[in-house]
Amino acid sequence: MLNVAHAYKSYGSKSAVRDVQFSVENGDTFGLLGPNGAGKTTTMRMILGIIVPDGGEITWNGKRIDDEVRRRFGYLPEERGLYPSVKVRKHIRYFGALHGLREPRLTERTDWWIERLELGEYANVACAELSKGNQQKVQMACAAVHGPELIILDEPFSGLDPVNAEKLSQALTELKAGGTTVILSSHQLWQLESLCDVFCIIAHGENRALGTLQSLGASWPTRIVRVTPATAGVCEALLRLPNARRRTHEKATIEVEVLADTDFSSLLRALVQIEEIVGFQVLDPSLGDIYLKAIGAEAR
Amino acid sequence: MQDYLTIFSEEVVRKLQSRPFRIALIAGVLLLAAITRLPSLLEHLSPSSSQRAIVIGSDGLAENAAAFLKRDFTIAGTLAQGSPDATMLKSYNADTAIVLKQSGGSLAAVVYAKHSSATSENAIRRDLLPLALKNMSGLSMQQIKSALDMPVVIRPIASRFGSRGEEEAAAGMASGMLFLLYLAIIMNGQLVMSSAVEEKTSRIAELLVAVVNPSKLLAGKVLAATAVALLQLVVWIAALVFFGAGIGSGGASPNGSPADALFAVGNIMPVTIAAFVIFFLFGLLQVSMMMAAAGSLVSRTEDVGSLALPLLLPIIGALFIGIAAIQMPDAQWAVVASLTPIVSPFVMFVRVAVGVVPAWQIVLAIGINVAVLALTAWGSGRLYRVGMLLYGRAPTLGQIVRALRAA
Repeated sequence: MLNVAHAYKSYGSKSAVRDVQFSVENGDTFGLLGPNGAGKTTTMRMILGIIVPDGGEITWNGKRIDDEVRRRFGYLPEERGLYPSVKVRKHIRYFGALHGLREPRLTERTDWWIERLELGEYANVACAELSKGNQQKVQMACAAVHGPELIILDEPFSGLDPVNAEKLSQALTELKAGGTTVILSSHQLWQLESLCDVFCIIAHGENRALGTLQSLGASWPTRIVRVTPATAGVCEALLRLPNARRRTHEKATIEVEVLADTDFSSLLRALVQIEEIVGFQVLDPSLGDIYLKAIGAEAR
Repeated sequence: MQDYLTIFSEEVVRKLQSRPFRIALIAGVLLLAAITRLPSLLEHLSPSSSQRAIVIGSDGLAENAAAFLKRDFTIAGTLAQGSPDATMLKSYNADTAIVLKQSGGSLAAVVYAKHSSATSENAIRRDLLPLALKNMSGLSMQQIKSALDMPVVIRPIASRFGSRGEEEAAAGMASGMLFLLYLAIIMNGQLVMSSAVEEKTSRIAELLVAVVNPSKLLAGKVLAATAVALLQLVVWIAALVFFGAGIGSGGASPNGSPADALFAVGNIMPVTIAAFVIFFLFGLLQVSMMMAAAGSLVSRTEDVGSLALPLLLPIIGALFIGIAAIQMPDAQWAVVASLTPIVSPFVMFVRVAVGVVPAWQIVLAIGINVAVLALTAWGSGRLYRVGMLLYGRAPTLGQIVRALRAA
C-alpha cells in the first residue's frame, strides 16, 4: 500500500504542497486530480523520490521510498522525453536495465511491450523519427517494461488519437490485472472515471476530496433526474420540487437537478399521472461535477 | 554496481556514436598527421626556403663575402659594381641585393630586398663577422674561426637528465603531452556537458532521475567520458607514433631537437607517463563533473556558452601556465600553481616531466586533487540533482547557491 501522510514541500516562500494525504491499496487504480499548479506533479515526484518532502511521510508497503523501492516503480511524466538518436528497442532495453531487468527477461519483456503497443515496425528506428503518438507509446513501454509494482502516469492520454488512447487504456487495464498499482493524473475526467477506483482531488497543495466515486457521490447533496418526454406538464411538475434547477432540455428529454433526499418513487408515480413516461433516470453526480465543486473558486 | 555499469556502457556507446566525438577523433588524427608530416612535405615541395641574393662589392669583396653569406642565402651572383633595382633582381631571379663597402678596416652593408621583413640584419651581421674581424685585426681566417668556435659545454646539474639534449627532449615531450592533455580534457568535458544538456532539452532527465539516483547518473556519465577520453588519447598517441615514425633522431641524443623528441615516444620516462595518466584523470574527472553540473542547469542550448565560459577560462589559463612552467619548473609561481586546484593537473604534470619535484610536493598535489575531486563530486552531485529538474532561463549565481543549499 502506498501511504502519503501530510506531505509538505515548499520552494523558498512558495508552498507547492501544503498537506496532501491519501492511501492507495495494492492493485488499485488511483486518480489524482486538480487544476494546474495544484501540486499534483510535486506530489508524484515526492512519491518517486525525485524530490524530498520537507515534511510528512511517504511509504510503500510500510517502507520509506529509497533507491531499491523506486526501482520497482514506473513513471511517465507530463513532459515527455526520449533520446532522439536512440532506437526504440534500445531505448526500452535501457530503461528495463535501469529498472533492474537482466537477460533473458530483459529481452523477453522488451519484445512483449513492443508487440503489445504495436511498435514492431519502429523497433529499429530512432525515436526522433517517430510520430508523437508512437513516442508516447515508447515512453509507456519504458515506464512499464519491468512490470512495476506501482506506476505513476501524468497525463498519459494527452496527444494520443482515440485509437492509441484506447490501446493505452487496455494496456493499463492489463497492468492492473497483473497486480500493478496505478496512479493516474489527467484532465480528461471521463477517462479517469472509467479507469480509476479511488480519486483524490487536490487544490492549492491540499486535499479537497478523497474516496471512490460512489462514496463521493453518496455525500453529494443533489441528483439529476432525466425524464422523457419533456412535456410542459412534466417540466412544470419537476421544477416545482424544492430547490429544483433545470440542467438541460433537449428535444424530448429534460434533466433537472433536485435534492438528493427526494422520494424518487413518489416522483415517478406523480409524473406517470401527468404523462405517459418512457424514460426516467436518477443520475449520481459525475466526476466532473464533484471535481468542479471540490476545487471551488478555481473552477471559475 | 549494476546501475553504474548500465549507465556507463550506454553512455560510452552513445559517445562513441556521437558526431562531435567522431569529428574530434578524426580531426585530431589529421591535425597530428599535419603537424608531423607537413614541415617535411613543404620542404620537399620547395627546393630552397632561403632567399636568393646578389652580392655586390669591388676588389673581390663580393666573392669573399658570398662564401660567408651562403650560410643564410642562396647566392644568385656576384658583381663588382652595380645599382640594385627591380630589373636587376628579376634578371638574376633574386630576392635580395647585398651591397658591401669597405672603408679603412671597417665593413658596411646595404641590403635591397623585395621582402624586407623577411631579411634579417642579424643573420647578415653574423655571416660577415669573420670577414669584418679579418679586415680589422689582420688575424688569419683560421685564427678567427678557432676563436668563434670556442668550445662551450652545458652540463645540467641538479637535474635527472644526463645532457642538455635529453632535457630539451623532455621539454618537447612535455609540450606535446600537455597539449594533448588540454585537448582531451576540454573536448570530453564539453561532451559531458552536451550530454547533460541533451537530457535536459529532450526532457528525459526527469525519467532518468525517477529510476536512478542522480549521483549514480552523474558518476556513470563522467566515468564514461573518462574511458572515451582515454581511448581518444590512445588513438592520438598511436597516430603520433605512426606519422612521426622515422622523423627526428630520437630526442634523447644530445643532438636531438625538442621537436624530434616529441615523436620519440619510446624515450618517454615511466615517471612522465605515470604523472600524465594520474593528472589527466584528476583534470578530466574534475572538469567533467563541473561541466555536467553546469549542463544540468541550462534548459536551452543557447545558454550553454554563458555557463561554459567561466569554467573554460581557468582551464585555458592553466594551459598557458603549464607552457610557461616547462621553461621554469622550479620557479616559485610554478610550485604554487602546481598546488592550486584546477590548474594543478596541468602544471604538476609538466613539472614532473621536465624537472625534479620533491616527493612531498607530488604527494601534496595528489592530496589536494583528491580533495578537490571529492568536493567537486559533492557539489556537482547536489547541483545535478536540482538542476535536472530546473527549467526556464539559465539560473543566476544566487539561484545556484540557493539550489546547492536546498539539495
